[in-house]
Amino acid sequence: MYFDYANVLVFLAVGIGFVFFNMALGALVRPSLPTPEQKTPYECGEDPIGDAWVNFDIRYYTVALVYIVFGVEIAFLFPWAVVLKSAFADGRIGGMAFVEGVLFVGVLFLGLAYVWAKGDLDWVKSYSAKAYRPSPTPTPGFRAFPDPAAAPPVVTGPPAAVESSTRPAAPVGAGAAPSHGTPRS
Amino acid sequence: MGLLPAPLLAATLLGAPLLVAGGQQGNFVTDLVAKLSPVEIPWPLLVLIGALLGSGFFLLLVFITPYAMLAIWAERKVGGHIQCRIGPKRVGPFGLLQSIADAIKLLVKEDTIPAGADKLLFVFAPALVLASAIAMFAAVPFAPDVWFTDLNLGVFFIVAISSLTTIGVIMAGWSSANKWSLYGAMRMAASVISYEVPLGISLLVPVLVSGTFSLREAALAQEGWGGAAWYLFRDPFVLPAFLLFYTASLAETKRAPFDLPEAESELVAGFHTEYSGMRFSFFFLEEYAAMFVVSAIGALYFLGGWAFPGLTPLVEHLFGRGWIFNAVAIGVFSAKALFLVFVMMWLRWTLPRIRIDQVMTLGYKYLTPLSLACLLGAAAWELYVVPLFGGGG
Amino acid sequence: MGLLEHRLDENVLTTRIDWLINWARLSSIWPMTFGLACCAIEMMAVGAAHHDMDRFGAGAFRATPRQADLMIVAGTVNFKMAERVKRLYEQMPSPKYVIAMGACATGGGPYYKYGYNVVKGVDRVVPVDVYVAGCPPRPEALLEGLMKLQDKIRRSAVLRKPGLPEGALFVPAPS
Repeated sequence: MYFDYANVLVFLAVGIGFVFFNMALGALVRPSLPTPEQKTPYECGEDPIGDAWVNFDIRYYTVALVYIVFGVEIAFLFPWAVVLKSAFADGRIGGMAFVEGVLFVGVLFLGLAYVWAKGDLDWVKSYSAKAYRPSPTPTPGFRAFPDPAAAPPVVTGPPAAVESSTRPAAPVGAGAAPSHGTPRS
Repeated sequence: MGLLPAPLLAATLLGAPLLVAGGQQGNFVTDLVAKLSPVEIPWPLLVLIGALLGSGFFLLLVFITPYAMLAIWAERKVGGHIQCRIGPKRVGPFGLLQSIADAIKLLVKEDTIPAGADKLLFVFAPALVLASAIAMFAAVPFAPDVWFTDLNLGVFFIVAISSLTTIGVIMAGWSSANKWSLYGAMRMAASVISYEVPLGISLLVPVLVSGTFSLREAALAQEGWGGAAWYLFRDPFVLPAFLLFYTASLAETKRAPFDLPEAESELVAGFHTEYSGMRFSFFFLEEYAAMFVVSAIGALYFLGGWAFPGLTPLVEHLFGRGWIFNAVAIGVFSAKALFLVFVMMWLRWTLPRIRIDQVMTLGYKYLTPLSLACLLGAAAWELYVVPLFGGGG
Repeated sequence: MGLLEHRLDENVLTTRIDWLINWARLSSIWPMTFGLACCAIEMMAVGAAHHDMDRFGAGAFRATPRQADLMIVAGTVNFKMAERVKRLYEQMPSPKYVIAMGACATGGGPYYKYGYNVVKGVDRVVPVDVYVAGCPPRPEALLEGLMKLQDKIRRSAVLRKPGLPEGALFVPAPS
């Protein structure tokens, strides 16, 4: 059995060695003409702005926390799954083992349901939509658009020309369309 | 796509006389060395030679590298034909030498390390990523008697060591001193750890059915004249578990539609933005190696391993379980695994990339509860329904 | 500079190795995803179904300059962009190649006389290997530019000392 894990160690060592062997082989031929520009981080052709090691979104932390719960769950479920069938077949455990498994999964599913209900599984959280409530006191001069209090506009036939003292009647005809600049002839 | 397994099959058939049946201790390489050596080699030295030859020669040089080159060529060919193009055709016959040209070019390409980078981590990240991919291969049996280590933890070991890849990717992203790399690495971490949950739970279903972690024993249990012994057809819970496993493994291997860590349209090249030349190619190699490993797990645990209806039982009947059987088994197993790899390519060139919030929603709200239901359903089926038919498993 | 690069005399071994490396380099020219103006549309057409650039192994458009070999300057280079073009070129690892695609990138094109904001040819900013004429060039023209670049790579010295007669190891393209 120790042979097995020694084998794995050798596999890891060979993998690492393969990388460095290839790098050394390439070093014989590959050019190396570094310039200060070449050493700058790639930011789509711009000069890099600020540090690359920026503060990170808290949502990734939540994902990691949720994962820990389930990672542990899988680690516990693996031995249960392996022995369940054979142990049940030769009578070492009864149906209770299955019930226990269901309970274990059920408790963790409760945890998932809790996180789900709290909204921590949502990547995009619409805080702004939840936080916005119209103020109970009306703002002076504020009118919602479209105004919910106003009656819906009634459309009856073509609109008549509006006679107004401040605004001339809407011009009729194609020739009166406002033209920007001088039209080319 | 019949071309894809053909060179591999030819190589295995040529090499098969060497891969004589293994013994109780050590892998087939150890036995081979002991058999061929004119002098008695002391056991610890033999173990070391076996492990070195097994990992370095047989696995890396004979299998992984040619496979990855063929797979990259196939990826470009498949993508080309899906997009009504032709794909590489000028470099060698059918463009077959394309990957070799790419490899040599990357080998002699300048190696750039950004000025602000954490040099130690930057240099070691590809090594860690590739080493974990090779170590994953260690626990994959290729035939009843062709395996490198028969770990008693089997698939658990593979799931565990595949997390090393994530660490390597985060090292790469962090050490590059580049914002794109960091975003790619964090996305990779988030999506991979989210999808490890459904992946692990859906893998528990065949573990429960077979009652062993060892991929080899699970595959041995699925042999038979027909395909009815395949776990895929065993009960109504294994088929959905396979689909869940396959979906989750796409995310684990950073393949489309879950290739957010290297989404070109938003994150340039993700965590390997600053990697050039050979160092970049190691990430590529790892991606294709990981694709094969998850496909191999799928083939061994769900699709009957090296059993093929009518073919392997016939070979066993005619020739016994000698090296001919093993060679055929390698061919059948590789064909199944490579078919699953091909489906991954097919999906990549067909489906659009999904958003990060959709990735998270799919992982936690759909795949995880469904895989839990599959696990409990399969447990109940094995305990209470299978005895009704008088089957013990 | 590599340990052996440009240090060896010409003999049968170095010429063969040079041939191999040049073959690899010319067979997998990965362009950078980089377009400046309308020529970029024609560049995309080169990657698309009818004129498949991937046939020559040059279809793997890389989004980052670190993994690209070829910069196709496709379009008008104005002074504001020239700085970025220069930086992107510098960030590519050598060996790196530039194709100036179209009249604007070659010499200012229609903006030569009155384009106060246009660089009169991208070769004032970065060294150009191949110029492709046209406004914009047809996809076939860009493919021919790619093949000219392949011919150029085919003649270059890698391990051998530079300055040998050009075409010392010229292997014509398979017809």
